[in-house]
Amino acid sequence: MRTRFLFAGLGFSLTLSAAFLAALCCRAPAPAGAAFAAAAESPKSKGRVARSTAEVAALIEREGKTPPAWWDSMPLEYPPGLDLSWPKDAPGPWDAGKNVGQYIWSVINENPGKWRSGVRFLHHLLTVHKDNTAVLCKVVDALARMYCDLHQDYARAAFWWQQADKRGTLDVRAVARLADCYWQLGNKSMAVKALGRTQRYILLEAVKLWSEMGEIAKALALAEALARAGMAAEAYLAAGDACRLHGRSRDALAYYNKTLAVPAAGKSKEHMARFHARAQASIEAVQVIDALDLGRVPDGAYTAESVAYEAPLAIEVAVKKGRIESVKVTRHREKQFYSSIEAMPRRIVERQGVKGVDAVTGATVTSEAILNATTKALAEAMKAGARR
Amino acid sequence: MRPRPDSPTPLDRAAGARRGRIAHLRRRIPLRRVVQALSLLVFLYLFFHVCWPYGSEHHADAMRARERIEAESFLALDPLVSIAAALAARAWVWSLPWAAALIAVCLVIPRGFCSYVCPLGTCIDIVDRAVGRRFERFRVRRRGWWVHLKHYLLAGIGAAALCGVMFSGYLAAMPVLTRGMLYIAGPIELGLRRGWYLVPPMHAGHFVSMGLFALVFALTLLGPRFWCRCVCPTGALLSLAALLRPAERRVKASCSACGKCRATCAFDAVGADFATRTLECTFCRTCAAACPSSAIEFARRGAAGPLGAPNSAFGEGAALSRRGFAAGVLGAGAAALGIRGQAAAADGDPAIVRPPGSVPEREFRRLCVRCGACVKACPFNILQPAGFEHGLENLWTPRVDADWSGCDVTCTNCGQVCPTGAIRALPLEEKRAARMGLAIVDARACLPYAGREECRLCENECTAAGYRAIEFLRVGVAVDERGAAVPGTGFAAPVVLAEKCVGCGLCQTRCFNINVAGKKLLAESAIRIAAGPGREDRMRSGSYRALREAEQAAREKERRAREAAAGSGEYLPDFLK
Repeated sequence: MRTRFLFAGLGFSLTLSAAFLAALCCRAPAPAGAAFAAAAESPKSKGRVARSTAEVAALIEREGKTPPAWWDSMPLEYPPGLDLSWPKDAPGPWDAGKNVGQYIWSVINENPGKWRSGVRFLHHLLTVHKDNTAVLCKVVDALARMYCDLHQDYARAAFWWQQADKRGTLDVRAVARLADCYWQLGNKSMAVKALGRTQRYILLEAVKLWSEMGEIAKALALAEALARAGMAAEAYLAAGDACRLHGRSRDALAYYNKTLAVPAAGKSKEHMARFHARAQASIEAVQVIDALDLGRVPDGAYTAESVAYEAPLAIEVAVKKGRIESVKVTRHREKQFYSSIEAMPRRIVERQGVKGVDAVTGATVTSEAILNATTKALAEAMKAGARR
Repeated sequence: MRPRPDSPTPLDRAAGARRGRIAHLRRRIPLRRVVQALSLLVFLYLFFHVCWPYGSEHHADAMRARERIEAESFLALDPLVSIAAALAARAWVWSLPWAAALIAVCLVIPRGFCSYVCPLGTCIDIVDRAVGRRFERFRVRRRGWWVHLKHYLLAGIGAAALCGVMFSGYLAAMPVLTRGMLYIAGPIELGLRRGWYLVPPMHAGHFVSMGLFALVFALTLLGPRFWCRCVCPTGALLSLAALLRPAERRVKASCSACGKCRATCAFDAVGADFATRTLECTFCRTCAAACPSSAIEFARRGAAGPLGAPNSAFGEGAALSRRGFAAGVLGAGAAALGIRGQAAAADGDPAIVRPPGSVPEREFRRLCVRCGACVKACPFNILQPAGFEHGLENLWTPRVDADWSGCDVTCTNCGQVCPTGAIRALPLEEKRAARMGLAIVDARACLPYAGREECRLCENECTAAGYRAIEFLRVGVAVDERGAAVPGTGFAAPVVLAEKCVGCGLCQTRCFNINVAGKKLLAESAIRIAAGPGREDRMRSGSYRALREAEQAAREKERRAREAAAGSGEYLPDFLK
């Protein structure tokens, strides 16, 4: 049974790789070269560990097979009424005390204090379902996503997605996520190769990853395609973010304005209102971002707000002698995956600025809000400093 | 030339003049007045300064720094408070030694507390001087049954205490004073120094207490210190010490029967024959100062010498009546039994949330003297006196009003100032582990549960306070056609972790202030503190932290057993090893 799956998986990935190689060879090699040149000067390539394919593979293998440092201190805990068999379709209404997927979504994801024991729980499920392939697939995917989204442990996330890939059960979105892991681990070619497998689909995730890897043209082309496919608001927002990441403020503004122009049809009004609010906040941030000069910000702590998922989020940024000392999220009402609450401030301090800081995968909205609010605080501080 | 020995030098003259001035001053301001003034000042200092819980980041440290004299000193000194509390609760009360010390002093100076120390008596003196003596027509000169009322009340309080009901708090001198001050001066202090919006609304219980307090002072119309000599049961208790007095006021045969002593005695301790009513005399010596023939002396009991009329316990007229005692004892006993019955009947009602570290409820009601010290010392008035809504047995006892405010994590004030140990004096770490109640989320009202809007107020508050007793559960999640959750749908709703919640009420306060009072989204707070068995720790002794640790250890053991049974602990499944 397992062998058959492995074979199927191998066959599938072989086909894909072949197709990808073919595409790479047949299509014009020039743009690829240009893309690499662009990558060299893209904001992403600075201060990034680069690893060879062999290094990344070894890292994934090593990390994936050893437990995280906190493993032994984590209790195995889950509600007594939880149905560990994790049936395909959860019966009955939403019940986080009974259905595993809903428990992960409603309880583990919601509570940072449960993220580690959540990993422990999923590993327990691996043991429980070691002979049940259907459930095992779900467990492996959930585990990879938990490592990636909650812990930003890209090596272990990649390890488990690779396990799924070996069984041929990796869905196309997960392939894009795996590509992102490779990129985060410092190997662009592996990421590009994996993204190639998703070519037949137009994925929002891919827009962001192409942009982060410095391939702005690919990102924008994909975004345009996505917009034509009916996801205009998301696509233009992502395109705007991509332009912003690459310092193309004018294009970013244009895309954000396009988001604002998308009428609230097809989607629920509330849903669209959120996209509009995000676009508006990004426009405001872009309009000040180019003028920002840390050297002209007087020492002190500055606060500002920006729209996050639904409610405003507030930050406090401390500047001393032209350096960003710290960024703190002082108030937020974020919901899912708010690992960015800690990660984004760290990235801003590391980069000593807000330009070219990329959002935390899976928490784009929150990341953006933190970025926007920090920009706003610094810009206002600079203006106040100029007046003085 | 040497001055003649009998002609005073200028130095001698100056010394003589100084002596004369001091003697004059002592006549004008007797020692008693000085002691009284000092004592009142100390009381006011303790009440307005030491028990003022504002202006610091860390309440426990600030209280320790302020409390150079125990904030509850006067309450601890009131012997009726501790003795009746100990009798009612059948338990040792920490302030009994204080009371014993006071009684020991009163053996030497019977009822000296009343004339020298008692701040209530001093206040009564002031009111009498300012008001009482201007309305002579109300003065009662006759001696009737009422002169023994205090003894009947004392008997009644004793009987009630034996029945296990605390009556002393309603009438004993110090609680009457602190409660009266709390309801009248307390809000004024809070309003003037911090802002009137901080003053909690008043209810019937407040007004009844204020009325009783006013009555104490109104009694001065009937005579100076009418309360002290006729009603005050603390005074009655101290007068019993006079039975063992080693010294007493005696009138010598040189008495000219001018009647000045009788007229000046505020305690009505001088009989018609100018002899002493020994159980009334407080050794204030006002009569001795007034006596023109120096016929009054305070001498060893039974000392020889030519005497006027002999002393007696109560003097002539109005004898102690058996009927009076019977009325006092039976009345109080019946009332006590009635209250106990009522309390027993009310045990099924929602329990009142008590201050952290309160002893078990039955004992709490018996120990609590309703003095209100905890309420005064509580920052932001999370503690408020109960009114009549919880029955007579809970009148004026402290209850937690978490809509108004939450229990501050840095504060241990209530236990520090409790004079009877109804609230235990706890170190901060113990107080933070002592459960007052349990927060319960009303899922029908709570905004995220009801699908109305995102709200994390309670969790923010709980996390900021360091309890971390609230987690989230995402509710109202939309699912797509494949049954997968749609990101961003639904709301994170609060879940209270019972093992971490101590019932401080900070969550309830926040929910009330924002969602009820501010945005008017709810009729009442959607997360509320509830007390009752299993939800609070009510212990006479022992450590709350140890209790929490034991619970934690038990949970840990259970978890290990479960893990062992589930066969987990493996990081990788077999097929990957």
